[in-house]
Amino acid sequence: MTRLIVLLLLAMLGATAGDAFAIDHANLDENRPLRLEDAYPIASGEIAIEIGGGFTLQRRGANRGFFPIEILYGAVPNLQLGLGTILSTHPREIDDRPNSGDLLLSALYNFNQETLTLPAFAVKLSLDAPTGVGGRGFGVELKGIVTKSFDRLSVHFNGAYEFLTDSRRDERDGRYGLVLGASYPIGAPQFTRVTLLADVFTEQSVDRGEPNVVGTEVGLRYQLTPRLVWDVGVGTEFAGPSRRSNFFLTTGLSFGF
Amino acid sequence: MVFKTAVVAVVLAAISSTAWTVTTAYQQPAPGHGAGHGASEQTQMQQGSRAHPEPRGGGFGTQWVTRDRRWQPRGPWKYAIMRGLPQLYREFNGIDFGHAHLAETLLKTQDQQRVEQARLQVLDFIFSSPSVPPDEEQVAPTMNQMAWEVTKTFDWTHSFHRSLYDLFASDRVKDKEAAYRKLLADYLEKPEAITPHRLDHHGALWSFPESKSFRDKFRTFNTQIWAYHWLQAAVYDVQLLGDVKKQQELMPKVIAFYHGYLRRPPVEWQFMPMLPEASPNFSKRFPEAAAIFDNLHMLHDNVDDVLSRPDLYPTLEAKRAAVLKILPIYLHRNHGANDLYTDFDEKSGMAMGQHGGMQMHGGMPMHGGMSMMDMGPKPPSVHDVLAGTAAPSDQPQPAPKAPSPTQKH
Repeated sequence: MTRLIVLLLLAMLGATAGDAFAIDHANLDENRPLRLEDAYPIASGEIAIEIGGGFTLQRRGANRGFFPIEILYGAVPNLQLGLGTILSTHPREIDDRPNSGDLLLSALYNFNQETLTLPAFAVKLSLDAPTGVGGRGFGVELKGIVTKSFDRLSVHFNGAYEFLTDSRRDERDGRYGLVLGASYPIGAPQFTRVTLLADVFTEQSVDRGEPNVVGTEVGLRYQLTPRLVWDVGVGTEFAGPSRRSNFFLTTGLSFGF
Repeated sequence: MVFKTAVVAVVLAAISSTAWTVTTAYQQPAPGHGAGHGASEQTQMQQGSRAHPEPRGGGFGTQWVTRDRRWQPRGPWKYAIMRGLPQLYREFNGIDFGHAHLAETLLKTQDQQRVEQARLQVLDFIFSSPSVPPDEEQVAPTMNQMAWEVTKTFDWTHSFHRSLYDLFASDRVKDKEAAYRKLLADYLEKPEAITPHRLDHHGALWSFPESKSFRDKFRTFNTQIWAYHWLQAAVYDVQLLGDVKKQQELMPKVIAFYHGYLRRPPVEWQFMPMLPEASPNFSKRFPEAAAIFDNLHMLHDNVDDVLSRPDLYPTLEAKRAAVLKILPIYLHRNHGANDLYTDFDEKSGMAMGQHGGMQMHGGMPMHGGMSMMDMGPKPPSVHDVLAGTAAPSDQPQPAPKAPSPTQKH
């Protein structure tokens, strides 16, 4: 795992020193900075490195920091492949997936561009391999994504179901998650470097019999340079099990090259 | 293991699906569509205007459109303009905003004051010297939703444009001809690429019912757009004059001249500047690219004409239908061995990409017997600008000289 992280960091350094083109800063990827995703992949041929850091203040249990990193590749038109991991402090206190150091693979395929009548549709398949601290069983998530715009306001819906293997008896072996959100470019048309985004979400809790986690997030993405986007987001889980987050913050950078 | 297999299967399915889409884009048969004119086309041609041809070789019928965004091709030249000629890079960012904002404005209003306000917003944007390209999907969301097919062609051709600027601004690439060939081949293999054939801009492509509407209704904005096209053309010949240091030395004079056009758009111009006029050397050495970019600029004019005629195309669907009948004329895939749009090719004997052919301007008979057309003043070559012999750009453009009786037409 350490070797993987070193490789990713080296790749990122190469990206900042190398050639690039204008990154699509309005393209929403999971965790940058919200869990909300839009239906569009990065451009074919593009490589993007996304790194971040944040913390969560838990209602019960230890507060912790987390540091996601992911590399994305536009393999062919409309298909985006992802490889990443997330590191956390207090890794043994994490109930939910992914565990600190898990290997995360994903493939997002966009079916169409939204038009006057049709929204954009995409499907994303993710694999969470138990390579991290306390890792056990695989998680395979299938997510459907829909994006529909009304003038410059884009509304996004994510509906996912994660299949879990080797779960404990008191844990669910499958969970759904739903996210509904929107994004809007502040200052457009003359200024298109800031995108404001927000969502509400719910997901089934880890343990059987416990209520759904329900929360909300808000964030923004700001294009610093043609190939660098900075993001920041905050949120809260206002309903659900006792071990939920009262407040979380994440910030990060995306490099396209 | 089972899950890994599932992931691989889904990825392969996605790849094969994409490949199928691209393949069919080239191969869709066109039952009932030959290269000839339909009855309605012939009727309108007889009346002095030409109906949009029904798509030949497969059109764009449904609302289901694949996104197909492409990253700018990689190479040691990439981003050379941003590094070596940052002022020019910022000018190009401004131009990108200009096209998108115009389209979105015309979709919402035909009011002279509001369109003029949009023009001034574009000027403000350009003169703000933007360091980052605008996000055109956020500038023009309606236009993109209305006709993503044409957006793809614009985007991919603009990417080719920028790649060539980068190439000629890169001292790291010694064999520029070879790199050009590679970029050109990569560009042309995509289904949304514009043909490198010279098309009949002055005649067939400007004889549709809506042709010249944008020029005649919004002349100031139109000639401001043509000023962008003049700069985009003129830059190439400056780049061929030397290395980056030389380009850095010469480019400010060209940009200053262009700014004169922005301060006082050359409203006397009657037709867009052509690559062979502004950049004659580039057009001789790289004729395919010159033709592609002239075609690109003409396609911009065609689209703006459609957007300027809500009386002919009152709904977004009607505008979309019109634009998607014009677009196939330009696509490289329709100009292969079996050219489906020969009636839109530049006719033999016409001067390549010139205002009225060689020295002929101002009401001369042109284009193989088509209508008399006043081409107006000829935009200067960049060499005239560098030599200081071009007419001042921020003043009324001089009328073209009448040809002497001895000139051969």
